[in-house]
Amino acid sequence: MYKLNDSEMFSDITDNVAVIINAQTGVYYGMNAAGTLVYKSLIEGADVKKIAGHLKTIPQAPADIDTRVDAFVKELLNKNIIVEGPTVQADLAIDGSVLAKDNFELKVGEYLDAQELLLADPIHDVEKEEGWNPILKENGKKENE
Amino acid sequence: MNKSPLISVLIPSYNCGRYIKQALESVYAQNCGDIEIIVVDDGSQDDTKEVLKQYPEVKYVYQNHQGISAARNNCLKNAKGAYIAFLDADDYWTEGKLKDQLKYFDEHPECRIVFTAFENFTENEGLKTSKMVRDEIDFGKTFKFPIQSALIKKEVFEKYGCFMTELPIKEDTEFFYRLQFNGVDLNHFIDKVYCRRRLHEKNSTFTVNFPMKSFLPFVVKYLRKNIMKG
Repeated sequence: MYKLNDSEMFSDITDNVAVIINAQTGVYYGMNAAGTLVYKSLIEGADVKKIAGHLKTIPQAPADIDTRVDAFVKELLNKNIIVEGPTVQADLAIDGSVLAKDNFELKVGEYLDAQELLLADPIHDVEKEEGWNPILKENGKKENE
Repeated sequence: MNKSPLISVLIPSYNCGRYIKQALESVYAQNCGDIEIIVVDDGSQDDTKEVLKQYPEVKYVYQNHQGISAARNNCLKNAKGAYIAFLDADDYWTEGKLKDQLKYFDEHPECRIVFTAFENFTENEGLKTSKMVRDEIDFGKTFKFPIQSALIKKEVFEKYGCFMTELPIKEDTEFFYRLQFNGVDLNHFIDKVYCRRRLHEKNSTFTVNFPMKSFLPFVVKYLRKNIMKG
């Protein structure tokens, strides 16, 4: 099954909102509550079919919920948020009312607005002998330009 | 009754006895009368305390070694000025910094923090054109100016808090994140080099191994706030 791609991603789940930051690219992701619950089960190693099966037992669940789960998993894989991992047998704790509130839509948003903020730290990223690298002239161009 | 100073110049110091005189002289060279200078000695094992005896007007506060964030916070705890200016003990300012920044505040009453351009220099004073000035800035995307270059209204700390003691470095970066995500305008800037930062072997930037990934837990709450805003 799957686990967090923790070699690249930092993940935090608070108040039913997952925030995942790609430490290498500075892209970050945010999930709605429904997506967060499924994502949490996934990174805990739950079987995808078991998750879909569990969601189907929720009275208001749409008929295509397993397709939605598959699409969600595919999206997380494409974004490198999760990678293959061991299957862990555990009871699923997915609150159906949370999913119903989100109309069973499993959403993961991608945010690019803090990329430079997260990756570049020019205040501290300096070379001991040369200062900033690349060395910049006052006009903002690199020294060899 | 003692009148509160206009500016508190706050100098956290750790084993910077050999540099602190230059830092202090640069403060006096500001000719900005209404200031107090506070040095928080973060458990130095060198001659910092002895050097400071030459400056009886400087308020010297000793603490056991707790790191830069705790030292900055202790500085703030002792500060009485309406404006806060941090200066690291191994760096220095050039003349006119504080006056120009006060003038800027007069002209921009909405401003709460104003930075200046700054440059790095190496131990032997050999500058390597390592300078950040306005042309290189893409404001709003990242913070390119160190806290040593800033003059900050004290109310900013009262409203948004001090430095996170869990952070061994990048405490100023986290602080600026916090301000930015709370809507504080960090674009106020004087395009003149008023701050010179010394690069040397003992800079915590070089000695503390704190990869970006370790820093993320401290900023995730600001990103979450961004996401929740939709």
